[in-house]
Amino acid sequence: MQETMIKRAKELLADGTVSRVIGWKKGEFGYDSTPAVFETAEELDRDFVFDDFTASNVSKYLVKESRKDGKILAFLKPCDTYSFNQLIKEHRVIRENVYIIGIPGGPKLDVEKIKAKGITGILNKKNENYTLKIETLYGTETMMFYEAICGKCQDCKSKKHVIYDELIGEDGDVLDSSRFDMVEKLENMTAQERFDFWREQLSKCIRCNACRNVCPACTCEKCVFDNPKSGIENKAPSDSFEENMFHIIRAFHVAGRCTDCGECSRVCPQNIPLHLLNRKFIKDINELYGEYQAGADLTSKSPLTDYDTNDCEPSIVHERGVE
Amino acid sequence: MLKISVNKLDELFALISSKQTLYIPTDREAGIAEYKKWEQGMKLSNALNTVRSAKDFFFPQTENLVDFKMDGKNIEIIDIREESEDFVIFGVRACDARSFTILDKVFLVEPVDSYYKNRRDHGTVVTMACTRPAETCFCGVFGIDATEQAMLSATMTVKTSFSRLTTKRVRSL
Amino acid sequence: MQRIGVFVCHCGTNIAATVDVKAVAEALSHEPGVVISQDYQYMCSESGQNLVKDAIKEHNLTGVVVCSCSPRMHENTFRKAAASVGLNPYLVEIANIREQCSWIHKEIATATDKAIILGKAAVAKVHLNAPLTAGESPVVKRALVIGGGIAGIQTALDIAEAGFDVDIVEKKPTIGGKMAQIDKTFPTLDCAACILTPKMVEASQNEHITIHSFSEVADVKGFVGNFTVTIKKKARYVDEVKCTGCGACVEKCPMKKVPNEFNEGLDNRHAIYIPFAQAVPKVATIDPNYCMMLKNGKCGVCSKVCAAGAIDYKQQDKFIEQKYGAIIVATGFNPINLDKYDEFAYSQCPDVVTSLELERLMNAAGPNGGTLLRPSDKTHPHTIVFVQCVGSRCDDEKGKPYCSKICCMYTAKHAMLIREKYPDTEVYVFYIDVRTPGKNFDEFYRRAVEQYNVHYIKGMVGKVTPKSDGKIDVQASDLLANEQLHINADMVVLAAAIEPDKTARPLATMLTTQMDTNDFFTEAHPKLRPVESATAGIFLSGACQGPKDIPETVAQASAAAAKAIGLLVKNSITCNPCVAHSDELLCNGCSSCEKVCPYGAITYQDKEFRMPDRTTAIRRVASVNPAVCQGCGACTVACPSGAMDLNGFSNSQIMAEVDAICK
Repeated sequence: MQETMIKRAKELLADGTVSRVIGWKKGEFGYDSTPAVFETAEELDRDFVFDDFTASNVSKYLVKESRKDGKILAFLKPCDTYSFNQLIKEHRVIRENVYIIGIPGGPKLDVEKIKAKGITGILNKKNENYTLKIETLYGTETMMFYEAICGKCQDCKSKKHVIYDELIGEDGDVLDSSRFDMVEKLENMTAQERFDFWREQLSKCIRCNACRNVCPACTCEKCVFDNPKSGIENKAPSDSFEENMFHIIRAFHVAGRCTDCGECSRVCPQNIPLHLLNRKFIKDINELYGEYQAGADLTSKSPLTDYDTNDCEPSIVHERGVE
Repeated sequence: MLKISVNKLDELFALISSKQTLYIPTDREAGIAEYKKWEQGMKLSNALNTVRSAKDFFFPQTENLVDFKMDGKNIEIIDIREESEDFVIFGVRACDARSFTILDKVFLVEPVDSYYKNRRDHGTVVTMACTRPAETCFCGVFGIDATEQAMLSATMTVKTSFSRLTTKRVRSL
Repeated sequence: MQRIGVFVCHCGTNIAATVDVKAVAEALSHEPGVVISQDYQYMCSESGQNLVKDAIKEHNLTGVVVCSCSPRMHENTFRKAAASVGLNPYLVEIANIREQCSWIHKEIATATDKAIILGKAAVAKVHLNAPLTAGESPVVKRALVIGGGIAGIQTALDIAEAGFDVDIVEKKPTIGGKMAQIDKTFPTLDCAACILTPKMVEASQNEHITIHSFSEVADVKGFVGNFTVTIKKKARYVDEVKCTGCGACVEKCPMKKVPNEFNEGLDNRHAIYIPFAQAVPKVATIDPNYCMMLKNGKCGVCSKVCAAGAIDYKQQDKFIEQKYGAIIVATGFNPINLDKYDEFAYSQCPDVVTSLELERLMNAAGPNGGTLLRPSDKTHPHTIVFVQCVGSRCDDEKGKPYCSKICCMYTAKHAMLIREKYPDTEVYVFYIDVRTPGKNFDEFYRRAVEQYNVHYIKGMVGKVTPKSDGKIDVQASDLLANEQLHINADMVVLAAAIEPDKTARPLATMLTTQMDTNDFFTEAHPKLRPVESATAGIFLSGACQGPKDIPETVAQASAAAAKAIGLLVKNSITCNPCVAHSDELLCNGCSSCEKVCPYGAITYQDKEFRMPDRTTAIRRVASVNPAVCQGCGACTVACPSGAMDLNGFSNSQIMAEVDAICK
């Protein structure tokens, strides 16, 4: 797959369809694949990588990249295509400047899951049948493949590419995923249990802002948390209450626009399950205003900025909030 | 060089915390460690390092500079520097400990940051050597000896803990 | 440092009886920034206003708070007072301690506390008020009247009289509307055509008026003073300029079987037709659904006999674009469709007719030349039953909830005219109430009862059954005599409810103006602003705003014209400065605001910006048209980055008010 992608990218560079390629490149260690922009065939040959660790969603980079001169080729997994569609709807990317090749989705692996098994000093890994053979500084370890699957891939919602100029590999279907299971579990807790759960989880936050920086919905020219006039300017909160408000406000700001790409939780260095907050909002919006998947197409209106006579009454929302 | 059995670590912690506030790295959930004020029953973490470094004790992300109370036109100012207490941080890694010397170069030269100095003066650092560095560790690159650089440093093996005293302050403990 | 003056009004006893105004003034004097705080009997009086003016001058005030009645009453008064002594009028805030406090509470202690809190909130807000200047936008001195019935014609004549150009757009081939179909009008029994046609002719000859007949409004863009309207001139396949209206084509047209809309389908017309003899413009129109040439390429007789050579089978719809300063809607009404009223056998029996159909049957230009005959067998009717309120005042989905206003009077008129002309015909009217509110209306109806012996029976008609012998059995109840009746009638006339024309709803969307659930256009204020819509620059004339008869329609038409003239006579209009504006540096260009704006006030542009790294980038940013924006604030809420804010009601001002209330 990596070879096919490199070959196609080189073809498109050569015939002038695109002038740059965005994909992933190898990092220092075998699990360290990061998004990168390539401009020449040599760079592609040398550094381009597509493997089990290329979980990152490159759509967000296209906000800046599509504004530069020339066309850029982007490789998008199914979940990434939803983010890209949403960005088009919000006029954040210039569609004409991007050439999209849809590539197969996950499951991708998360190195944190490997570390959670107590395996440290990780250098590289090899797949053998359904096991992972991991090379570390201290010898070789093994674990099951499925144990290392990235959290967001376990609840995959769709293998369908909702936007692309061409495909490598086959297109898939929208899946019936269990992604709301944990949300339901939280809903069934008492208010105090839920409060304690979130206070506990959010107290870990160190305001690295990785979640905000990676989120494709967070593309404001000036984030409200950086804007002194917004009233919620907040870089390093002085108490945990302000800290919790950062996450809750951010969840509200992306509500209705979040495509559930799962990047926020994946990049959190403290393993805070932020995606649960966003999924709760998606579940609520589905129930109150009708089923809606952000980014599934280019024409549907976000339920939060559109009125339909089938929308629920505000009193119902109020009742649900009171317990 | 002093030696103490790992089983007796809890007693050591109890002893230290009876004289000053003690902070040790402890696990929040599997593999994620953070510094917390020691309480009976708290276990020392096996993690390579805490997620937020010990720098927080001397150079925190936010700090309270001054409190003031207004009563009509009267203002009462409370200076927090006068209210701070002595504390001990146990289990700091050599890489983090080296960072303190760099911070000192910035904040302890004229004009001296009195808030920083206050914290430095009140704090005692006990380092713990690493036995199993990760692939991302940079101590070698920067010439940091995993076993030095503190007022008191310790190395842990399975059964015992060694400690080397380097300053008078520690002797007083 | 702000220097704020607070003025608490007694409003006689309206406020002072429930709120301790002196305590309020005293409490607010301690608020930060307040340098003077006083109470007064009637702040809106001249001496009250002088208090404000003097205080501004004496204390160098930078902001004024008046605690009084609703800002809708006197905000402008105090703004003008402030402006007259040099303080920006938008540095004045009103705290409503009357409608929102003294008029709804009974206990003095609670009401006073609340008034103090409301005052504090206003003080907190005025601290953050910025001086605003109202912008100006030019006015195109041309009006558009949509609809060419009596309402549209009257409005156009009045506007033309004032010297402004007016266009009338009428979807039928001729102007005249419903009034042209009416025989005689109440309460004077004037012949409708006789009083209407002079006005129609006046309209066509007036140099300021342009009539676009057989045309519709296709698109409306713009805002008050500056509308751009696209008019679709439908193809009539006849050249309007060449046609002389001689009628030769109509005589020779072989297709004679087209239901005649003007006579409510009671007789037929030709495929090429002039709707009625006094049509304006007097120009033929070809109906493409029936013309054999347009459908099959056969015939072509009309073009052969036309001396002027005006027939043009190749004519296309034409679109013209025109700018207007004001638009007046006069789209009129139609009787409702009675298909669901099987209990009255309307669809089953040709002798059960609506009142409008009866008008045509009695009219000299109608299908029977003025003699009233039963549609089924063309015999003279001896007994006629009138049924009132068919579809009006109706609880269920079938009809309309409102009273259609004109039916009681026109039924009395019909009854009287029939009794006058055919004294041997018995006339029964079944009614719930008889509503005759206008001038000479009640006298008119009583003449029908007393002088002409029309049998008015208070009761409802239950069922109308056509019988095999051609007569109709009407089963009804007489509520006053408390008995069931069966009447053997020859004709039954149903007073059908009236509803606004069906084109009104899509038109309302185009104009972004409001309609109620009955499709009547909503006026800006039901009592005080009946001819203006809530959208600036759009005025309402005639039955499109609510059921009304001819005297009221003409009155309203002139009123709408007066309002339109008031707008057109200005060279430029001052816009409301309390409008939204987008901070370009923060705007993402995401279009959330554009999607929620009910007035279409937001557009997007690509603008060049200097970036922090000294390069220039082109960014798509929002731009609010201050003349169209009504300051509703929906965009401010929808904006994710907080770039959009509302002048005069900014986010920080509102938060300051909330903070003051919650302290």
